[in-house]
Parts: sequence; structure tokens; C-alpha cells
Amino acid sequence: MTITNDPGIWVAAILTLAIFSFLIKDNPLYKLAEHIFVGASAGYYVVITYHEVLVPKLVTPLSTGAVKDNPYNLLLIIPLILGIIMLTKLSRKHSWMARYPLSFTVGVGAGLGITAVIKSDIISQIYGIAFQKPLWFLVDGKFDFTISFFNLIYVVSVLSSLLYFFFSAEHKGVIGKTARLGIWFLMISFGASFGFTVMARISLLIARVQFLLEKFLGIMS
Amino acid sequence: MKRSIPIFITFVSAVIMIVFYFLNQDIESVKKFQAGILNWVSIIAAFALLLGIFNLLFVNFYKLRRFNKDSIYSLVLIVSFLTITISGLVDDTSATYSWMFENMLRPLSSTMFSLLAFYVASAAFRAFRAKTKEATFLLVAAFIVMLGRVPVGAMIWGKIPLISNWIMAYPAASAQSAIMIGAALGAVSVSLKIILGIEKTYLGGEE
Repeated sequence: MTITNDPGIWVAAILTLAIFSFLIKDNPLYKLAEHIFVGASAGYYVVITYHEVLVPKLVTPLSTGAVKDNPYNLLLIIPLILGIIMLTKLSRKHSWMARYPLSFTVGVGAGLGITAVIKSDIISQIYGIAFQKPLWFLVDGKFDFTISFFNLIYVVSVLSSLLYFFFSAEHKGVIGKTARLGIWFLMISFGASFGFTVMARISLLIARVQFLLEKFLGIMS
Repeated sequence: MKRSIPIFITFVSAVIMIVFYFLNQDIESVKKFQAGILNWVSIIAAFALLLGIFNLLFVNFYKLRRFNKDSIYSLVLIVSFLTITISGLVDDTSATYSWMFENMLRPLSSTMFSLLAFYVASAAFRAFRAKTKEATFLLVAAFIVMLGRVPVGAMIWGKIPLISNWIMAYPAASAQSAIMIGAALGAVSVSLKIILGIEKTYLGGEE
């Protein structure tokens, strides 16, 4: 076992242990690490936004040379003004002015929400189910029972799950039984998602423990 | 005026986006216009982020001024924010910025998320009690998917990874499709309500 001399790994290890100390109970060391995390994350997003949004999309196109080449770049003054108006939210008296940039953003989002969502989440999903999950699946011209059966399960699952969300008819009789089948498929889906999430978190945990053992303590390297 | 003009702006901007969607997407000016509007939105969103940052700093400066035993945390937050921001704004390839990212932000974020493994495990203990048929489905599906993702699953029975993949590809994916279609229909109806001025909560409560 050789403990590292690298100050960066020492800092990372101390912060990792400080966060894990929350498992015992809330304590000052955890709070300290938590506040460093919040401050550093906020700073990181500011830097990313500045270098990836504000400079290439606003500052550079509004520079003198760029405006001479393309006078339409001057239109970028509009989102700049709207963005500055957004900051009036900080003042209680003038906060209503922030509704203008907000309404523009919400409007664009709603417009895109209708068109893009219908295309990507409704039409393409229905297309995928209708054309990529045939109930009569052929392999080399011969009927493949297994895949056809699996596709049938897929279609029944989608329809019954959708019926569960359909509240315009009372869930009784055939509708009630189909909706119940939909719940079962939804529960399987939630279980699978849950299992998948648990494994993703555990792999992160393993990576952190590996870091402590290998890079910090020099064991298992 | 304080509410009617924003509702009008929402209506006009939404209708423009819808109309442009149905225009020929191969026309260069149509493409440029749509990309330009999305650029505008990202610029406004950048200012919205600044608004959040100002708010965070105001709250923490206020806590610092009150000076009690918890003020040290606010000081730490402000110092870590300013250090990473200043070093990154000056030069995002600088040694200080990279050092802070590699040795502070990355370990902190991955440890925060890995911490959830313990809480997810305790939630699983409570959720995975097969009291009803539905809970049994949830339990079995989760158990098989978890076993299918680790080598021990294949060691117990070679077909567990196959069953796990089948669950992900058929019942789970199909139910996700249904959820996606349902959520999309909900999003469309909310968007329509916003465009027509029926849904106004995004404007806030004041007149």
C-alpha cells in the first residue's frame, strides 16, 4: 500500500469521503463538500454557457467585423435586450417585465412542442409499432412464430398500457380487464427501469471505491 | 397590458414556429430562420441561468452577512464558485480550471450520484414486498434486470442475461412507448392551452 503524494487525488479522496460521511449522519464535513459542489457546479455552468452560448452566438456575431459581413447579425440585439429584461426578475418592482422574454421562450417551446413532439413522439412511435413490429414475421419467406409472438406481446402491451391512461370511458368489463393488463406491463417496465437505475448507481459506487483503493491508497493497482 | 402583451407574444411566436415547420425545410432561409430563433432562445436561456446565479449569490451573501455558525458554508460556496468561474472565463483550458474540474467537480458529482445507490437499495427493500400481483411483476422484472447486468447472473443461470435483455426489449420498451405517446399527447394539449391563452401560470400570479 502506497498512499499517493498527488495533492489533486488527496482533495478528490477527501471530498469523496466527506460525501460518503452522510451515510452515518448529516455532519459539517458533508455540508462543506455539498456547498463546494453547489458553488463549483454553478461556476462550471456559467463557464460552459459563456464559452458555448454567449461568445459564439452573441458576442462574436455582434463584433464589428461580423456585423459588416452580415448586417442581419444586428438582430441579435433583440435577444440581448430580452435577456437583460429577464434580469429584472431580481427587482420586485420591475419583475413583471421578465414576462416578455419568458413569453417568447414559452411560445417558441409551445410551437416546437406541438410540431416536434407530434412528429418524434407520436407519429414515429406509431410508425415503429405498426411497421417494425409485424405480427406476421417472415424469415427467408417462412413464418417465424417466436418473433411474431414477441411482436404480438409488444403491440398488446402498447395498446393495453395506452388504454390504462384513457379515462373517457369507465374502467369496467373488457376495458377494465385490458387496462389491468396494461398496469401489469407498466409495472414490468417500472421494475426494469428501477433495476437498470440501481445497477447504474452501483457501478458509480464501485468506480468511487475503486478510485479510493487504487489511486488514493495504492491498493489493487 | 402586463399580461395581455406577453400572451400575444406567446401566441405569435408559437404560430410562427408552427408555420415555419410546415414550410419547405430545404429552403436555406427557412432553415436559417429556425436556427436563428433557436439561437435567440438559447441566448435568453443563458441570461436565465445568470438570473439563477445572481439569486444563489444574493442568498449566500445575505447568509454571510448575518454571520452565524453556518456562514462558513456560504463563504465556501462563494469562494468555490468564484474560483472556478474566474479561472474558466479567463481561459477554459487553464490549469486551475482543469484541476478544479478533475479533482473537485467530477469526484463530487459522481460520489453524489453513487450515494443514491444506498438510498435506492433501502427504497427497493420497502418497494419489493410482493404484497400484490402488480408489486410481484415489479419485483421480478427488477430482480431479473439487475441479475442480468452482472456476471453473477450468468453464473446462476446462463439464460438470465437473455431474459433480462428480452424484458428490456419487449415488455419494458413497449410500456415506455405507451408512456411516451401518452406524455406527448399531454404535451400537445398543454402547448395548445398555452398558445390559446388558457394556460397562463407561467406568467406568475401578480397582475
